[in-house]
Amino acid sequence: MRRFAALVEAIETSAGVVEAWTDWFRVAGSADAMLSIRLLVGGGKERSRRRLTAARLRRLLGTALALPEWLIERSLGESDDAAEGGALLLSAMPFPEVEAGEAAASERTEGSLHRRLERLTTRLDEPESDETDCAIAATLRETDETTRRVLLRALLGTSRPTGSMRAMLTGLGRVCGVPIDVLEDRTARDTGDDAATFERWIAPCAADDSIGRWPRVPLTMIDALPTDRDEAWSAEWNWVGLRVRLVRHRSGVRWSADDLEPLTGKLPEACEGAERLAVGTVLDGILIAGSMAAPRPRGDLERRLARRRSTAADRRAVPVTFVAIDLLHDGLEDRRRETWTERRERLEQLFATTLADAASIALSPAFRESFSKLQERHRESRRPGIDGLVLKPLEAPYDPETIRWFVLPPQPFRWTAVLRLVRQTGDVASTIEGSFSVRGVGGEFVPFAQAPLSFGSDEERTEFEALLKRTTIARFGPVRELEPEQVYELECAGFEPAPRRRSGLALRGVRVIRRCDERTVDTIDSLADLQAAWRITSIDPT
Amino acid sequence: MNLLVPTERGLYCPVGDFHIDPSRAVPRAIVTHAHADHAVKGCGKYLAAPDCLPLLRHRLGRGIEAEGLEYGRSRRVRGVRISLHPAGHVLGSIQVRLECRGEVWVATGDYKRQPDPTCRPFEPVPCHVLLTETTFGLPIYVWPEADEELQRIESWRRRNRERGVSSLLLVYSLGKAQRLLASLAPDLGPIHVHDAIAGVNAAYREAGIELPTTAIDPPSAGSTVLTVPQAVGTRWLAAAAPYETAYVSGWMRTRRRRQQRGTGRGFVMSDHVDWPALMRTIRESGAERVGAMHGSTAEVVRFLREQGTEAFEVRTGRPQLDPATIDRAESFDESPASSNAPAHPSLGEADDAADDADDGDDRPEGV
Repeated sequence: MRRFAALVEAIETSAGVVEAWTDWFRVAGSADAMLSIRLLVGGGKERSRRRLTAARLRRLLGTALALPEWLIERSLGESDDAAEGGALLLSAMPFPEVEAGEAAASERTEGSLHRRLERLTTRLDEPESDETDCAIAATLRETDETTRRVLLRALLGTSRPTGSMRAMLTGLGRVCGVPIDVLEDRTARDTGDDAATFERWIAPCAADDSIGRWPRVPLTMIDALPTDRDEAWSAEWNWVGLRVRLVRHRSGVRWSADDLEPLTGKLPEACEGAERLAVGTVLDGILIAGSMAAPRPRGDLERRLARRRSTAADRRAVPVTFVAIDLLHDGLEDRRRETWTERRERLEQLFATTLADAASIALSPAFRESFSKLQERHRESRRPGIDGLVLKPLEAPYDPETIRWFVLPPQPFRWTAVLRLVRQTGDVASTIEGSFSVRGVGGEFVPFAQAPLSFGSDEERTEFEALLKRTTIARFGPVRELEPEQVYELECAGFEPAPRRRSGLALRGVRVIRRCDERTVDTIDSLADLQAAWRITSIDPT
Repeated sequence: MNLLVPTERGLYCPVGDFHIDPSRAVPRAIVTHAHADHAVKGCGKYLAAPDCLPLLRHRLGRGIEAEGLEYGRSRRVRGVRISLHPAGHVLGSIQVRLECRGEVWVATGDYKRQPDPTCRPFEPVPCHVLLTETTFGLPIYVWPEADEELQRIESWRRRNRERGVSSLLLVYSLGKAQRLLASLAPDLGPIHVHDAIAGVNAAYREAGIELPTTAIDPPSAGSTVLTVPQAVGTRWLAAAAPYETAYVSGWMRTRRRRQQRGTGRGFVMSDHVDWPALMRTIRESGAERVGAMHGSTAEVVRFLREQGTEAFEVRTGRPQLDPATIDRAESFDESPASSNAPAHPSLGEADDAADDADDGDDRPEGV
């Protein structure tokens, strides 16, 4: 349990996580290892079910600690997390006496995680009584506070699987010797919750393990494109969605996102067409809400994917489309070493034949045009569902070591606004955050964007801080309200509708360009200007 | 008889005409320890434990008129026998025991019952009325063993050092800093302290407490730095970058508080009493009445009342009772008006030499 507690603490403090997983896997049995993964990383078929209500927890703690329920409730209120509060409160309970020898003591303090959870759930299923409550509390008290907190979260159905899957797999790979890409594939395909599943994950590699394995290919951001090689590039729209891989496995179609969140079962409409692909085929693509002709905001996609299983109503409300952007495996044939031109050609053949009538799977259009023509495309690349262009070298293989896909973001919006609020902590090295306003309909200031302010030198910062002091109207803790006189030029990558905001728009990638000392507050942009700009960019791409 | 009453200036003893830990300047003050919320500037006379005096002078200035009274020795002030007893909070922290007409009151001040290498351990003092601090008066506050928490700090320091990252421990400058300094392993490189802590360290050394030598050069990457929270982000600490910060406080017990502090880590180490020790102290005092001061007073009072103990909240710093309205004649037969004592006697001028002879036997019978 000490290693498990160390693992939880490592995850919570983001320090030494891989080492902590490694240490834990070295000592944990398969059932404990699987339980810890499900509790700390998530995934699996069964979402944690609530077996203990907050009211029962209060009664249980009151009985076990011989404290009035109002005091338990008040104490739990001191923490904003009932599981943490319960775990801490139980520390006030004397450690249960060990009945028989050191072995029993070791079992009680170091005993397995899953057996302890089973003991607790069995007790919770019994009729409520003082004896049961004391037994449950005693079982929890045997563990350290951290483990107790995790167990209570599992029982309360409030588990917080915030651990990184990648770190877990790296630690697991170090212990079992299975390559991480194989582990990624196995964990994505085999989503059981039991010890047998874990043992299948860590089994030695088999011949067909290469099927469905794919390299991670980052989309590298650049600011400029070489202009002398315009003939060697192919361009595609940079779709706003979720990067996923479609794998036609023997047992059906599997989906995997970059963060390995299980998607299988959530995209039945896209699976229909993909079932016809040859076993072993792997497509790289972007999952978007709506269709290529009428893409919808990414938020719609996230809401759809947040559902555990998609119902017919969900599918009607938010249809999804898998936009294929590359072909990794064509059946059992690995095409990753081929050039982009060859892979694209084969991809187009697939869509002309096998996937011709797949309604929810589409091929991303590719433009092999002159650079000047691409520049024109680039100007068109700020639309709903599209955020710039992706440029692919025609000769590039699908290999993380050599490939360079360039994302050319759309030209940013620029506007001027006045600095109204500043948040500055006492830490001189900390960022100074500014809140910027534009003119509203009636001439009033409407908060529109927040962005950090940066300074080229200490002198510049000192000068700004002096300006802050001079123009401060009021202070609210670390926040200063300023006289509306400092005008700034800002830019952002795009807008999204945001009805809850006073401006009605949310901005992506806001940054401050410069302070415009030559301008006065009367000359700043108005909300109407920005809304007009947003409407211009919101035209239907079809 | 109320030996101590809460007033807007702090706890006041109407019989002895002095305050305990006043919040504003008063003619005579007994100071339980040198933290800023207990020791204020401007009082006419101060009475404290002898090892508290260097700290008081460091905090309040060399010119203050302060006197020490040895632990356990008693002194009569206008009919009230006063004695000071270790509270284990920080160096020189005391509980104040007052006895008058066979009734004993104890004001604990801040205290803890965990071991601390830099101060005398808490001693339970039997009494009729106990005024106890309840800063952490909820059952959720149970301190881990000090050694256990120290090990966690050491392993964090060790890991940081291996990565070339400095460890910034954010602590109170008086008490926590010295407790940590005296406990941290010396083999993990030099320990740097902020100026505010260095000044207090000097006062500790003046009081005879041995503390390890601290580095005087600016901190560098991979070092350990004890600093006050206000210093984070200053140029002095910039030299220690990259660093990880961790608060060391009892408030680090809950995630909500850790998040409020905004540091990566928190270590639970407090100089105040936790819930089990609070209940134990009340039990061991044998007090018939318990007053709760600071923090979760309402909860502690309600709980004690439900357990059959007479309990009340003590709220100082608010205008509740004007000392001028107290009927001294009723409570004290040696009132200033009727005695030969000077108009503003110091806490030492009312010594009763006869009382000093029976220092070791100044506990009331049956308590």
